[in-house]
Amino acid sequence: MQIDIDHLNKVYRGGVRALTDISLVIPNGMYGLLGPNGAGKTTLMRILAGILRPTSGTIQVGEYDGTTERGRTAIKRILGYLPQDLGVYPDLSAREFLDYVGILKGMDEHKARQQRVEELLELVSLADVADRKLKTFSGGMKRRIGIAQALLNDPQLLIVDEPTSGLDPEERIRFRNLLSDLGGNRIVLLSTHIVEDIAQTCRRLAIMHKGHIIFQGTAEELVNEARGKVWTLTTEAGAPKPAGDVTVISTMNMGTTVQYRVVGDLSNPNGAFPAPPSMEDSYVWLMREKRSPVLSGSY
Amino acid sequence: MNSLKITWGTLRYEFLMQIRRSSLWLTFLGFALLLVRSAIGNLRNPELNTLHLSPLQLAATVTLLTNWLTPLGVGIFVADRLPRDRRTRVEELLNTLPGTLRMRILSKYLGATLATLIPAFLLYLLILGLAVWQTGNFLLVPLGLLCYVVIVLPGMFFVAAFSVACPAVIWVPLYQFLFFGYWFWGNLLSPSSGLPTLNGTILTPMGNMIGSSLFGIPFGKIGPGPYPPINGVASIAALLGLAILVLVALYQFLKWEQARQ
Repeated sequence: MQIDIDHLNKVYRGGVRALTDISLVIPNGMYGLLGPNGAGKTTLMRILAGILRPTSGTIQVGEYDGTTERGRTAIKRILGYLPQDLGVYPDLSAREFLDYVGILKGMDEHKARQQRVEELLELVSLADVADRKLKTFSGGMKRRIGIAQALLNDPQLLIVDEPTSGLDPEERIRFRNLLSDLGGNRIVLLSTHIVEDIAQTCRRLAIMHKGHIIFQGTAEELVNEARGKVWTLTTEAGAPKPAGDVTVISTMNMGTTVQYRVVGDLSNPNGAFPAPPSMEDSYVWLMREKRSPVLSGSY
Repeated sequence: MNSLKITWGTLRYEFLMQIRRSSLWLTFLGFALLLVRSAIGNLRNPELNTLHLSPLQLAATVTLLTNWLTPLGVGIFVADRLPRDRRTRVEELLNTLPGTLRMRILSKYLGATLATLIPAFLLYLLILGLAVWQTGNFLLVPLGLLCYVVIVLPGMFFVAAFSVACPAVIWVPLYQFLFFGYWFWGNLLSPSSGLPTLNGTILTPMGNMIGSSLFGIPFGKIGPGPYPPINGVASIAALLGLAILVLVALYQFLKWEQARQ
């Protein structure tokens, strides 16, 4: 299965243009959607999930047309969705909430649904606290319940919107590993502004900026975008920052010296060493350039 | 996907979430303190004995004695169920699920209403029990249950439908305030006061018209009677019919709102 998005536009009431001429092909496996806050990632997620209607354009999710009511309903049957801001009923226990969502997903066989709920509680390591009310859960625990409810119907399309925001490093790693395990023969669309999450889990990705796609391709292709543009240099403590058309990625104060990692064109490259680019470097490089139309490697 | 199973399944959870609210039980406990006192006073009123009421009429009278207050609780406690989905941010997730909007509205309406009716019905049984104790007539029990179904339930479902629907367009506390005012204006203000009121019409959810026309209760002060039984039937049909209409309107409104996004 794959998702084909063609010339998709979304203009909210009041004239706010959230998406402009988005065209994407999303194949099976883990796919990252990267971009700063306000880039349009959540809007695109919500359109794919059937919550919002596009203003124009087409969406094909496998055999289903996402621009029709019937198509949206069919997509919802194969969809698992973890919203950016997951809400739960605070007075239900974890087990009850999953059962409730399972019923609404059309899992009307009680025993099968119960079994699936128990499996998922084990998967997300919440079996021990399954009967505790959700209002007692921490943020990380709620996210795990969130991924559990998204997996109830074994979806062919799993959309996770900013799943690791606000989680501590250990929780974040656990979440990423969980998502990677799920990416087998389904589409897992991971939307985030955290580059590391994409770098650790996705081979293919797209980058959004102000409602446009500014890159789509593989992780290697993204990294290559900034090849020859990343430098490390050391200056005396107290000396001015590196001059030129650069963005400072990191600053390490070593006491008497300061080490910089920069992206861009140094006006004086003497004393600077070229560094192999990381995905974060390339992301920063692209954001600087704000290129349009799309820089497309392969899809 | 079996729609009935889904509706029933979600109805159970809506019922569970409502019945677990401690504020619901505390409020009806407060109602009980008021109603028990008022009921004892009314049942001991010597005027009651001079009316020579039949057991059915007595049961209907007892029903109306409790029904001036308990629907208030139903109206107020059902009002926040739909907006709660938005407040807890569950709504976004629910909108991605294949279970239809129609099923969700129905299960929310029925689940929350039935749960709120539990303490209301228990309170009614308490008052009925007092009446049985006072009169020594155990026939009041089955007759009282019949009267509850005929006189009380149509108004309860009517009130609950508006309480589920109206907060979709107005702020919940404002609705609860207006509902409080409406309840006293539309059910307890006497038509003979000179002020316009719904009291005494077939749209009175308190059940005065149903009680007077179907059970011949001389009380109620709803204006000159007697009222023919057709008035009672019309009242039941109007209350239930309006409840259905309001829920259909709610569904259409929410669908339109979703399409606008």
